[in-house]
Amino acid sequence: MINLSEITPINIFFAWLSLVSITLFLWITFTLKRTHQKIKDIKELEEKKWKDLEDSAQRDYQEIISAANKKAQEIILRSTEIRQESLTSLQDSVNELMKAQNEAIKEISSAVSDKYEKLASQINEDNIKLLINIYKDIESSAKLDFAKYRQIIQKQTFEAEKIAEQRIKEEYEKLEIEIREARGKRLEELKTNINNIILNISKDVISKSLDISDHEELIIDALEKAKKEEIL
Amino acid sequence: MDNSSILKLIRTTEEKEESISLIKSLLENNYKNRLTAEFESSSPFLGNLWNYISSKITKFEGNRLEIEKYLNSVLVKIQDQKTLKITLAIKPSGKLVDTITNWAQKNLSEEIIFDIEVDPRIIGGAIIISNKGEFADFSLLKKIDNIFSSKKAEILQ
Repeated sequence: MINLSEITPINIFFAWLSLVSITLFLWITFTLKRTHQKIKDIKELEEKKWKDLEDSAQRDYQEIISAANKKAQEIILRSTEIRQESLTSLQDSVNELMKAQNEAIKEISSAVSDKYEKLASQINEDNIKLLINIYKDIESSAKLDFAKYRQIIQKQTFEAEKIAEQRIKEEYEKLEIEIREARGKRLEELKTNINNIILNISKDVISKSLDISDHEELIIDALEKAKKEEIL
Repeated sequence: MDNSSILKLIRTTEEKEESISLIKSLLENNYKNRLTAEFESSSPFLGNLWNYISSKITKFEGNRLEIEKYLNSVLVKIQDQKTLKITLAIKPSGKLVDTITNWAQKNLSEEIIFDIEVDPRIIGGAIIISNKGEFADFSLLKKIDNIFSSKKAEILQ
């Protein structure tokens, strides 16, 4: 419930102000929305126009390209024909030139050939003479060297023979000494063996030939000698 | 007290050992003559030795002190006897042992006994080693070796 005592002019003013403000806000909002729609439409229209313009430009471009191609083909065709004609003419000229040049070369070549043939012959003769001289030098040098080598080899062979002879002599002497020593040693061993055999036989014979009285005599004799030598 | 007679009975080291054994046995058995038969039968030497000792003991007429004194003096004398080592080519008979013992008694100034070894390799004669350690080889082996060494060349010709 509204208390009437509270309705004052200030309150009424604030209520009016609020109403006016809301109305103003709604109007502004509506206006902005409409303006925005208009801008959108204008933008779409503008895009459409640009697209049409582009399409048109594309078409023009195609037409220009096509015309240019056609023109270029015509030019190429024409230039090919011209070149064919020029080539034929040029070939003929070249052929004539080559023929003339060949003949000139033949003439020059013939002259040069004669000159160089003579020169080569001269050089050949000189070379043969030089080679003959070199061979003669080599031959004389080889003969000289051969004589020297022969002398050296003869000398070395002679010395080697001498050394070998000396060595053989030495070895022979050494061997003779060794044989003599071995023979002497063997003979000595043989003599010792014979001596031992005779000794053993003698001992055996003497031992068997002794009787008790002989033993007694020998023992007493040993004691006598020991006393004489002052061992006892 | 004269013990020289008993020492003359002992000729070799073997007999010396037997004598020592007999006297020790008598001392241990109170000089009883119950071992007489055993000694006599074991060897002629022991029989003779026992006879000699028992004749001496009888003279003491049972005086144990004198008997013991006598036996101990004999034992010492036997143990102190000098030895001559002699190597022979044959095992000596009793006669041969007597011969060399007699020679020693006649020719040497002191009583000695022979330590006899047998080595047939020496052929004959004797090798003597005195109690001073002096060595003398009078064997036939040595003589023959000397002859063969000095006359080897002649023998082998």
